[in-house]
Amino acid sequence: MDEMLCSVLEGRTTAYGLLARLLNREVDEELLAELRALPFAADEAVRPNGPNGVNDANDPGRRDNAADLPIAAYSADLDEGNRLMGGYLAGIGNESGDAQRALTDLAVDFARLFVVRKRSESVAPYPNESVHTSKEHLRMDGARDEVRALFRAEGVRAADAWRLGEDHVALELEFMQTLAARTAEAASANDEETADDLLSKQASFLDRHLLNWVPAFAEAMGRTARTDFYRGVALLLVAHLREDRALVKQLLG
Amino acid sequence: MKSLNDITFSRRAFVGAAALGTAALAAGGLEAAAPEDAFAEEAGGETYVYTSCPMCNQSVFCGLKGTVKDGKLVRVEGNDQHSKPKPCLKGLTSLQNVYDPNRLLYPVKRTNPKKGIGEDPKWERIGWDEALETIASEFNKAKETYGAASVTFHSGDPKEHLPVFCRVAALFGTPNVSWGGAQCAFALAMASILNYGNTIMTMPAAQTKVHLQWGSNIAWSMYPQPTAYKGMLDAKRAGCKYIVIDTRLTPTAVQLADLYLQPRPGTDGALALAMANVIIEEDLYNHDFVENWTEGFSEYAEYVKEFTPEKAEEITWVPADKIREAARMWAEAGAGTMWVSPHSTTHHTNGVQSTRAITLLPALMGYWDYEGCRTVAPGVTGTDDSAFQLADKIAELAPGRAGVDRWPVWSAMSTYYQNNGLLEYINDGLIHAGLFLGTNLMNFAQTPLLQEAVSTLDFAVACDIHLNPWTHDYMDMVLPAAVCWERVAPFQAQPNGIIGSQAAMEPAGEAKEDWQFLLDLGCALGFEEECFHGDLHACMQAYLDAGGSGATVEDIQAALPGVYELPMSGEWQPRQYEQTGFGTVSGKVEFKSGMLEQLGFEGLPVYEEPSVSPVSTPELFEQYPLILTTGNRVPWYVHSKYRHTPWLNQFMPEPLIRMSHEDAEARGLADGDRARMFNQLGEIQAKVEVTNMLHPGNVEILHGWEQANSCLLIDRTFDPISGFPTFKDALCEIEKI
Repeated sequence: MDEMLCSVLEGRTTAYGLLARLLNREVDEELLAELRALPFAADEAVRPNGPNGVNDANDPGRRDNAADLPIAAYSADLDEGNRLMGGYLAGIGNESGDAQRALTDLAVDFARLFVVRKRSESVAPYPNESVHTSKEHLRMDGARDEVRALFRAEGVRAADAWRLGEDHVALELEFMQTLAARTAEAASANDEETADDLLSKQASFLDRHLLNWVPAFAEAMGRTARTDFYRGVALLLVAHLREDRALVKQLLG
Repeated sequence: MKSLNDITFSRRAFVGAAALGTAALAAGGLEAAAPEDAFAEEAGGETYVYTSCPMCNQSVFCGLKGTVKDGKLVRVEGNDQHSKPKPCLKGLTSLQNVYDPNRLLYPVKRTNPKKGIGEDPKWERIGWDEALETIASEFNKAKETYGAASVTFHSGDPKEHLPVFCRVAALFGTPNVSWGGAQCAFALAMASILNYGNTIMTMPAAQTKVHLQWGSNIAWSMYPQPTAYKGMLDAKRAGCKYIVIDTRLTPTAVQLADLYLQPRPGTDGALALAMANVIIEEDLYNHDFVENWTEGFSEYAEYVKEFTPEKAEEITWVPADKIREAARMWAEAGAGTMWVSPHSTTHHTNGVQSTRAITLLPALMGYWDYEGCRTVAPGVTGTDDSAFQLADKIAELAPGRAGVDRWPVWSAMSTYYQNNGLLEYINDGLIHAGLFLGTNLMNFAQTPLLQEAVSTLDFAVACDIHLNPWTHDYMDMVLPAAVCWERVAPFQAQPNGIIGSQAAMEPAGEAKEDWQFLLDLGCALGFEEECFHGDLHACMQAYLDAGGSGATVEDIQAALPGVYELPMSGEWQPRQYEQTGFGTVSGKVEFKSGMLEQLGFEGLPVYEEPSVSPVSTPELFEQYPLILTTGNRVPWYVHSKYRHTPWLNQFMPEPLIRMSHEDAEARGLADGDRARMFNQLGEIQAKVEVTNMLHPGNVEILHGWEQANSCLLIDRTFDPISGFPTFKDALCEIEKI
């Protein structure tokens, strides 16, 4: 199989994995080190230069050799997400204690986003689909049942220790990760039928579930976050889902 | 599948995704999902679990049956084998409580060391191990520095954790343990125990001819259980007469009363003494009972002479003739029962004495321990948990409690400390650290003073279902509590035995049931052996063993949905007091309390005006001409709970100031207007509800609203006998916004 396609299919699998990891629990020391080593630092951000784009020599998003980049490939949210996350990571100093301070800062923001709730709240980055879609705004409502049935149809279930409902964003992303991995496997074995079938299921899951609620979730997340890191994650999350939906559509033809 | 050449996907997306992916792989793949594990096909059927409802939390209460399907609780209804078989709407709503998306599901610790009003705690999620180690280390530090009593085990409204709570506190060595009865329930119990050595409240039975319902709106509070009110309606149909005395024209009054009296708040004692005046003056009292089985009658009779119906009318607003009519209806019936609210007549500075005056009315008639009256029936055996709670150790520690000198009667009658003095205990350096389980700082008059005081503690940890800023922002750590459908531990005593609980599911997130958390805490504090090495089942068995029933945890589980039956301690025989006497100092019913006199209080149930009232503070009354009563009940909320649970919130989505048509019109207010309610202490804002319930001159607001905390308008004045707060002694003014 096309090596490039293989890499694309593996790439989307691991992107789902990372997003799931970021939304499941706090960044730990190991993950922080890995993230800091990644190239999505601010200077990597891409956006079309002038006349409508920014053309400031000091703009971290400026890219001088982007003339060959088609406008169609430009995703403002993806770039902004990269810029925000990269900017946050680049801003962590290298003195002793800097990384620990950043981890605490990120953990506090994670708790603010996903753990700390007021009883009076109704608009917040609730990580469960059913909270966003049920009439009475509850966990474990209809969406959880639907998602659980879909998971089971694919031989996927929540881990034994999982206590947050199957419609949690991390679990839904891991479900996509699992199907994406199976797609890559099928494609590398030239089993196009299986790959297409899996891609159809992913398209449907994106349409009926993730894209149905994650944009609202991510918007609340972006509003609530106090670090650029999680503001960036919120943007990247939705941008990734949308881009991936477009990719799946194109792959399916 | 299309080939890549046909695709014009975002290059940026590809590059970004691939780069991100390397980190994800290093991070370890799947965490939440378990793919391709072999798992059994689901039967798809429904299973049932049984528990007792904690939504009201007078204790675990009505029997609940839950239906579980596909790992989810899908339906809640009553357990018809339980002694309280029909839950109210709150019980049914326990379903939504479990799945409330705003529940706290993980232990959190503050990362901002600065505590105080306006400080963001900057919570960070932590694991249970770190939480328990930190608590143990901080508590032991306080113990070494200031003594074990410097650590309070402070319990709010919940009750079902108390056996283990008391046990762990006793093991640690602190006597400063509180329970929710210090604001509700126990002052009423104190009043009747001072009189009779026993409680007096009873629902009418088939032979009851008259029932006196005082300050209790059972149609709404559904206390002592939802079916009790139906029983009262049935008794009415069967011919029982009802005297309802309430400052508010409640649904209970409207539906039950043959005679309704509406006194001015805080004057119940004067009204009861005036009824006694009529009963004695008209020689309607039971001479035989009074002469043989009561103490202090002659002084009491002399004292009540001044409370003529005419004088009482001036004090209480109740017409003299109605007082006479009520006294006669009560005295001439031949068999009477009485129900007094646990928290209406007691929330005044004169609370216990007024409630004594009320609960002495059966004594005048000898309405005690025969058919149609309060019967002292032998209880079920094998449920005494005092040995499990380490009652001997608690008794040994009790003299070291905070507040023993301030509230000696409370301290003599209760093993708990009177936590209404928490502010002073902290500020005087008696308390340095604490575990606050189900505690709400809005429960204290002048809440901000408590918030500031708790902020000064060396270490404070709370355990709760939600993270409530008005309480928890002042803590160092907050732990997530499991709700009823997630726990197995609490047993519930039944009239004929004991009933168990089953969990419908594992607790959400990392919530823990109270018993388990307390065992883990006990182990962390160094009492592994006494806390069964954290083994909940072993602890439950020890609890049963201490009661001596011989039952095993399995026996009790196997009996569900039914009660595990236990033998009764005997058969009821009328007038047992003729053999045993009464559990008072004199062994008789005490019109003049021996215990109160011993502890330096007036032995007679004397009437004094509340500390704040139109009579006692006339200058304040000129500025604030409305009597404010707080701390009442509505059918859909208990204290501050469930304000946002959809099935309950729909009935009262926001705070309401209830006031009469007259008072509203005088202020240009109409139903639904927003108004400010204020006095010399503070101000709150809410919508007005104009109602027939309230007497002109009396307004009310429900307590526990975070956006309109009624305790801001209540002074820190207490009943000197019970130490109870004065939630119904306040004056205020209301203005349209």
